[in-house]
Amino acid sequence: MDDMEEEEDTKPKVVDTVKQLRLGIDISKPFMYSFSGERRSYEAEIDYYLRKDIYAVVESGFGGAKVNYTDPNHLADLIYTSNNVFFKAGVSKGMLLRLGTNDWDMAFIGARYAFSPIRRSAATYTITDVFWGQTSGSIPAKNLTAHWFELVGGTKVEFFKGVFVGWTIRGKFRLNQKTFKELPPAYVAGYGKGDKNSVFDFNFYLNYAIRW
Amino acid sequence: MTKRRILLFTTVIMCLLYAACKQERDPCLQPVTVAAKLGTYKATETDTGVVIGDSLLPAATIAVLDSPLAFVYGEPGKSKFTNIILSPHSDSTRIFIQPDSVRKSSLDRDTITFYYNRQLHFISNACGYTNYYSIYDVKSTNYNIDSVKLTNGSVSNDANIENVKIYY
Repeated sequence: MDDMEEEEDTKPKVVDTVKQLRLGIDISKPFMYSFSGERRSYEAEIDYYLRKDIYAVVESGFGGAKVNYTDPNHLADLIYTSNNVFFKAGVSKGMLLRLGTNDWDMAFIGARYAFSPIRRSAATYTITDVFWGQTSGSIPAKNLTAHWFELVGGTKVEFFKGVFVGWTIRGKFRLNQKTFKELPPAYVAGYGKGDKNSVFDFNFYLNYAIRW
Repeated sequence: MTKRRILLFTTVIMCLLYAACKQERDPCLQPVTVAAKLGTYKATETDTGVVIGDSLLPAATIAVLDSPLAFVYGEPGKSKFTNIILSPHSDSTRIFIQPDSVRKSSLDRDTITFYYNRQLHFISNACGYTNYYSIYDVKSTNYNIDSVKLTNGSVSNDANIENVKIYY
């Protein structure tokens, strides 16, 4: 027992004398969605080192989806678009021991609250019945707001001085599920598939840190 | 440096995993076409009284009037149930049932008319919309049919609901 206490005492103690503000952009989604054309998502984050490996984090971004399900095998065609912005705020907690005041590499866990105003365009639908032919109609445009909670985890590694790369994996849990029962947007930037009440997501961030 | 190597290694692994996850459109796995389910029954007199049993109508012709195709339904004789797709263009659908298709007299045909309200129903983004129906009345002629009974007016993608019983 005494040995353990002694070992604890020998660990380097990092004093929080340096302040850091880190700005980052997600480079994974613009890359991934550039192939599909059905989704867009641009995400950025800012974190600020508070103390004792705790960071205050705000994130924001925008994007949208284009639904154009008209392929011949579809018995029910659906066409609409959606656009949204999103805002997130929360904290991250570094889980690895810092080896010095200049060691900002981190593995972290955290939590976020997020909301997103969404604009869904008017939708046109066609129901194809083999016996009765086609029925078409439209659903009016609608403004929605999504609220969700996120549990996050990930890493950030300082590649060059002040330049970080890292990934974040997120479990997202929507708080207002009933709002999205009737024609939810196919994709909500910052959240994921609009018809799912819980989703997992991934970001790959490129960050730049300012220290003083 | 060991800490940094571990973090970089996990970064590479996570990127590879993410790249392997293709973002594809969800397939439509739910039924899009819904139908009213009709059951045919026959009353038989026995020593103990009248017993209502199933009637398979082994040589029946069942067709929809007013349809552009005037289509004939199902495989009569294999099941007492017939599924009828109601018209999404109007608030009623007429069908005729000829219990014995060998007999061609028009008096052997009974017409059944379903009166209903249509409800547009969102299934999912992958499947789009379909029509559900709420049948509120059923009427029939009585050349062969004894009576018809609306047992459950809700026509949805629940295939277990029998909507109308037809008694011979």
